[in-house]
Amino acid sequence: MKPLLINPTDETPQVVLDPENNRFEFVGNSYPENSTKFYSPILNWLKEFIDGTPKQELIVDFNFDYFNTSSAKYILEILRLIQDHQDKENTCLVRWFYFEDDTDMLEAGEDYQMTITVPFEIIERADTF
Amino acid sequence: MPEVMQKMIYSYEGDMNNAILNSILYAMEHKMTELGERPPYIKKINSVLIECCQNLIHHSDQHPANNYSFYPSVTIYHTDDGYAIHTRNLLQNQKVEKLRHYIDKINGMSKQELKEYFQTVLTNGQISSHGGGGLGLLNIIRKSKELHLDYEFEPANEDEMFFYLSFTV
Repeated sequence: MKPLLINPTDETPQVVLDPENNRFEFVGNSYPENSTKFYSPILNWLKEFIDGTPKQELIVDFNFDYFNTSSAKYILEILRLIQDHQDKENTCLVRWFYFEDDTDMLEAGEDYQMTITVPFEIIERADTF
Repeated sequence: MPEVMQKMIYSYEGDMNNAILNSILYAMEHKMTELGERPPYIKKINSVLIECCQNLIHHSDQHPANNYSFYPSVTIYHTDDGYAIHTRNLLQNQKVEKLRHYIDKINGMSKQELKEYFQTVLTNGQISSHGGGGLGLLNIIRKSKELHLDYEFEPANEDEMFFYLSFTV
């Protein structure tokens, strides 16, 4: 399947969904004015990947600086799709990164951790803001 | 009684969009760095400003052309307690009661209740056409110092009210 690659902007993250190189990540900010418009192609790509890929390990990195609450809804939708993939007996892992001392981002990760049964690592980034 | 320190450090009045929001975030990051704030706190303030300004983008009623007093506004004060954020926007009369009821409801919640309510809306709520999920004010109140949002409605004309919102982070 063709990868989905989106370059970052001030308000949208870099998106890498690349099965061939086994890289799946969201990096940067996510506060588009219209989250539906930004996240719909991403959800569609993931649905197609999960439906069409019976066996593949899936490790997804979430490495956000900022995200708004409407993106929060879509992040949950992405996590639910990862859950679907795991339910088909695939090995899945979510890695949620947060900057040292950023307790809001840490708590957001803990909140998401509770919504799925996929293994969910919360990892502190020691680098500065 | 000691005088309460309150210094206005940023104010904007006019059409709101993400380009304006980005310039507010940029200016605030510089200002707060100058004031010696730590990066996680700067991030907290700016993430609240993202929610506030995007609320103004999505929920402001159209203002009459060239009448600046009807535009959305955001003003930030540096105070002894932190940063006080004040916003103003126009709202249709029929939306007022629902909003008043909603803010009163969340103003009465404890930290834990707010967390649980946020989780419930996040996992069960509907997503609107622009992607909003009814979580903006909840996110703001959870980050506010007193877990409290002050608000006021004031008639603007026959059909609309000004909605004033303020809180400290």
